Amino acid sequence: MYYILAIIMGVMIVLSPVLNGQLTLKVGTYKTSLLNFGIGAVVATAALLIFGMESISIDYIQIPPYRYLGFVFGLFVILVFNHVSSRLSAIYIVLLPFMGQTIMSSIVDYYLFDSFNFKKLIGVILVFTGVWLNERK
Amino acid sequence: MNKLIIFINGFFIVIMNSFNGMLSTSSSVYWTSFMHHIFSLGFMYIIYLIYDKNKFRIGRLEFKYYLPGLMSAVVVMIGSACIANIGATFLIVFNLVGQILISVLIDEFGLFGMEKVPFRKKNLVGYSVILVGIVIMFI
Repeated sequence: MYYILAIIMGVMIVLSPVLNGQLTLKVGTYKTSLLNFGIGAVVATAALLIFGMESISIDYIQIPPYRYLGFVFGLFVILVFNHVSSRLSAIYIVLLPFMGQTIMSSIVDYYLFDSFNFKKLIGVILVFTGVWLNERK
Repeated sequence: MNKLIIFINGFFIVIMNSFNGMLSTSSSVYWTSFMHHIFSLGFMYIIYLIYDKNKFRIGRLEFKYYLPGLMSAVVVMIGSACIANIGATFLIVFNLVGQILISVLIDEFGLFGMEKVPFRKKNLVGYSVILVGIVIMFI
């Protein structure tokens, strides 16, 4: 189930910058990103109200504040994607962040979940080889 | 330079997913997505007020331009749910499957106003290697 969701997420990750890139050419990076977060906030609020109300508890006060820091990085990710995606060919939007993610996620899995296995490394190298083979001229 | 920035962006995506994953473990994915977008929107508005010198008005837009915002909310929910359950590496791998699928479709049919790049047979080798890599990770 989570694997299928992750695939759908991948589809959305490509579609977002593609559409935002087109809009950036019309109204600029900042307005595009603002619209992106505006709609995002509306949808997220609606989702919280509809699906997540019963799960909210007073215990949320005890959540360490650093766990809310994800948005700082998310902000830059969206800004950079919107700025760059209209200036690069589509394959780089997939290929280059993937390289970055692979390196970083192995580090994160190693330190946070203490799970680093050799099979993953081989698989990641093969996936990367495949992407590289396709893009070779 | 653009290529380097978007490469570093990959680091940021993982850091973002990790923080959001931690937050959703101690709360819920809906709460995570909500806080993420409220904070982002607030800071984005400040950045917009300071830096945006572009005078074009947004006005009325085609519906498809509203979709990225919708997807961004859903992506945070899926991302934090997945990273808590299947780990960062698997999340990336299956993200990639979806990304390759949709880029092939976009290239093949020129969807969403992108340029048409028809499928070439020589790419089959590359896709097979990618598939083998994913299978190796999965078993």
